[in-house]
Amino acid sequence: MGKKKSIKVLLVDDEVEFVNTLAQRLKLRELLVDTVYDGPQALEFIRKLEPDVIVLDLKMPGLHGIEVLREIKKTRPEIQVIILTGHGTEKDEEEARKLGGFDFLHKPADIDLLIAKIKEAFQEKLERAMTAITFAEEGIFDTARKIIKKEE
Amino acid sequence: MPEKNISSPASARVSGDVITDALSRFTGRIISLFVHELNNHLATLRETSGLGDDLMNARALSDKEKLKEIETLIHAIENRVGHTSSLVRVFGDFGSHMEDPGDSLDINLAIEGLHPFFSKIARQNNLSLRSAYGRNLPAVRGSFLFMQCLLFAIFENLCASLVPQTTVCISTEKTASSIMVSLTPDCAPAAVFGKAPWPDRTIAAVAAAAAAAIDQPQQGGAVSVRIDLST
Repeated sequence: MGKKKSIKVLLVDDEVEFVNTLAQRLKLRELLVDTVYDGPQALEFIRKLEPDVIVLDLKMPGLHGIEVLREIKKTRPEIQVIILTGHGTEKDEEEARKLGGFDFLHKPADIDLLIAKIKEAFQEKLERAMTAITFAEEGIFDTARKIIKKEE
Repeated sequence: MPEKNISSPASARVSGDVITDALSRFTGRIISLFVHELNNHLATLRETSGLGDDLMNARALSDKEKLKEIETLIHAIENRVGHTSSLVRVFGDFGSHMEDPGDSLDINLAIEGLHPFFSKIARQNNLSLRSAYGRNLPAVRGSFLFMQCLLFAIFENLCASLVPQTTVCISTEKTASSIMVSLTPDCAPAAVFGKAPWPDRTIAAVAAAAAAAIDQPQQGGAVSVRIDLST
């Protein structure tokens, strides 16, 4: 049986002590965790590496979390984003969900709940990838069938 | 900022509405900033204590290693509880001043009461804060609440017109006939200003209610608030 794939998580929050402690706790639960402290750093990170799930704060210096989410969904829509905020409004939540955010959590969040959401988000990412592969395969088989028919 | 004639009953009512709206908005902003900051503190406390629990249950660590880690976490928790208590105290003071705005105030105390909120706004805008308070300033006549509302609105508007990494110095001093509060950025203003959250009209009405005069020769430049000692 193959080794179970570890989920790659990127934490984005300007509360340095919070984000570093949360990262330690997630690592102890065998997730692969990276941390950055603002939106521009998060966008720079995903240009080079591919996290499965991003846990994103909203009110950060430089770029608001909603803008970061918008940019992520434009450039890397396959990455799942969970909002984790200290003071998100209903409007923020509506906007985040409209932009394709996976879930919207309020601080302080229970670690077990956060991990459950990360796993759900990862599962959905895998399912979407499988669906995309199935579509691609069907496309290839369809083309192959057409070629064979033409040659006959 | 042009002077407004508020002598007629109708314009006085309009000005009263503007002030009521401004105070509601100010209160809303303070509560919102407080809740945000408090949730951040609680989240950090929850994760820090949770990490302590995780480490206690970690099989890979010796008891000695665990003890060392837990000691560090306890210090972090104590430190964080201290910050949280200060924040709650400031919020409590804010509530007391809403309940009883008073008719005289210590300007340094009014600014100190806003400091945690100024720090948060500055951080969100990638700015830094510095303060230089004059010593032994006499109390001035006026309402704590109006003065805090005025200073808050001026500060938020200033932050919206500054480039990141600017440091804003908040200073107070006594002149011959007044107390001056100055908000002085150390960089030139941004080429393109962000939308000012507080309209000039609102700031002018709150300044009149706080018996203060504002001087800002250039948007994004230094702002001074003068409160005459004779008022």
